[in-house]
Amino acid sequence: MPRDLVIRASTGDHDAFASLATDAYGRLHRTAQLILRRDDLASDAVQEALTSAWLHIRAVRNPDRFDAWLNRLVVRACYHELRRAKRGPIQIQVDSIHGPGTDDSASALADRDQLERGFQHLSAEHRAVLVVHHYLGLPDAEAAKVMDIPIGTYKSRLNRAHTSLRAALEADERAAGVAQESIA
Amino acid sequence: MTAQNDLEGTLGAWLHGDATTTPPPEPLARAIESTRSVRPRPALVALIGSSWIGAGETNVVRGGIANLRPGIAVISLAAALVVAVVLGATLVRSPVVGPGATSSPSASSSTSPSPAPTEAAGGDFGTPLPSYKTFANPAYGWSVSYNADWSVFDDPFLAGPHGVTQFVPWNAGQLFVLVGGPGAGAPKPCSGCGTFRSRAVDDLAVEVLEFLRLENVNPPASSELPRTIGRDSLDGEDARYGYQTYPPNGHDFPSRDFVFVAIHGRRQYVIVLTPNIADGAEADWFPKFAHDLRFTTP
Repeated sequence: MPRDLVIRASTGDHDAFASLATDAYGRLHRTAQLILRRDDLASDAVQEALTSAWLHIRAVRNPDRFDAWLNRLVVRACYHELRRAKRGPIQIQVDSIHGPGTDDSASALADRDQLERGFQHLSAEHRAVLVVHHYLGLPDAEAAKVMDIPIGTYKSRLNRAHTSLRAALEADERAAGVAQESIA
Repeated sequence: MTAQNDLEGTLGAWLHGDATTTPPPEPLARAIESTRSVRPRPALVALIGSSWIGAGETNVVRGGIANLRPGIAVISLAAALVVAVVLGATLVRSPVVGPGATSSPSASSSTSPSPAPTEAAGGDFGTPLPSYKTFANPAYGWSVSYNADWSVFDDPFLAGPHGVTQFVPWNAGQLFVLVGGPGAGAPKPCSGCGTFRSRAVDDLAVEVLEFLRLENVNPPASSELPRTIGRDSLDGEDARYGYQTYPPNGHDFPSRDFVFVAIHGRRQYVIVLTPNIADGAEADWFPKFAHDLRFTTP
């Protein structure tokens, strides 16, 4: 993230902003997609975050923190999208999982499917905290800022998210076991 | 499963694996395009609503300002006030005329050295407004006074004519005057849009405000928006003045869209202001601008 681009953008240079937005777009969209689990909502959230970023670009104080700021905007935009989506009909779209490894063994595929199902069962806040921690890889203090919550809240929420995911995975295993027994 | 033993590691790998799909390019293109014609908010205003992560441990809004020592804050404010007063006085003595108007052959503008009836509107922008211009559109039958340092774009849409004139006030958003042609009677509010259908002024006010709501990137529900419509007049014609308030969406300001509507000679006259900052001053100067509109014979 070139500092000079951020500085130029913060003076109103839209071309510089477009370059920054293009560079960050993949990460922002992936973050939103992981939190929202719906491509259409993720696209709306990213668009909202980028629009807001431009409107507030003159508030940039430290160019080195621009990416962190964008992360925060997109996480908040995700929450906003979820609130909007709750008011309208929800179209559940379960995306298939295609990891980078193409030599998936059956067990690896099963693991990923199980994770996908477990992840779907989490609340958006828990998904968000897991995405910020595991996908964006932010240190706790910065992750708490991105989430706009105190660091203590962040840590406890992250812990609860792990616990919830583990519980969801165990429930999924039990359900699979019952299904196998009934087939047998 | 193996993830039970090393949940965090597996989850991290899965999240990165799940995220390898290429995102669709449209949202990026839309965001870039939609921001191209929008001016960023001024720094101080942007700072307050930007969820900014500052350099230190505290963010600007909750920590930076709060952490200022009272003495420094008071001195800074006093200094800023003195500078503002001095600058204001200087600028009033030496009027600054802005970029002026760009208009089509069907429209004309003239500069008035003395303040027009909308004099009070000037200071509301935070800039002195030493002179006014009159924009006249004989083809569509109207004229209006506007501040000389605004820009004016007659028929700003590419696939015109739509009966739309855009005024660009200094840092105050987008101001449009939309007037139906002598034949059709209804303007097109945007390129690719249909026309407003209402034939009664009350309905027209509602229709225009509803159109503005839907023009938002993420339109809030209609029921969410407090909407106010009152009786008024434009050049002696029955008119409606309305606005709707958009709540803050988590990182944005509450803001308002304003409209004036009238039906004159079976033609719709619509004046719209969509501010890009929320400082509240629009509620004062926008009606004054609208009240300067005069109907003429096309």
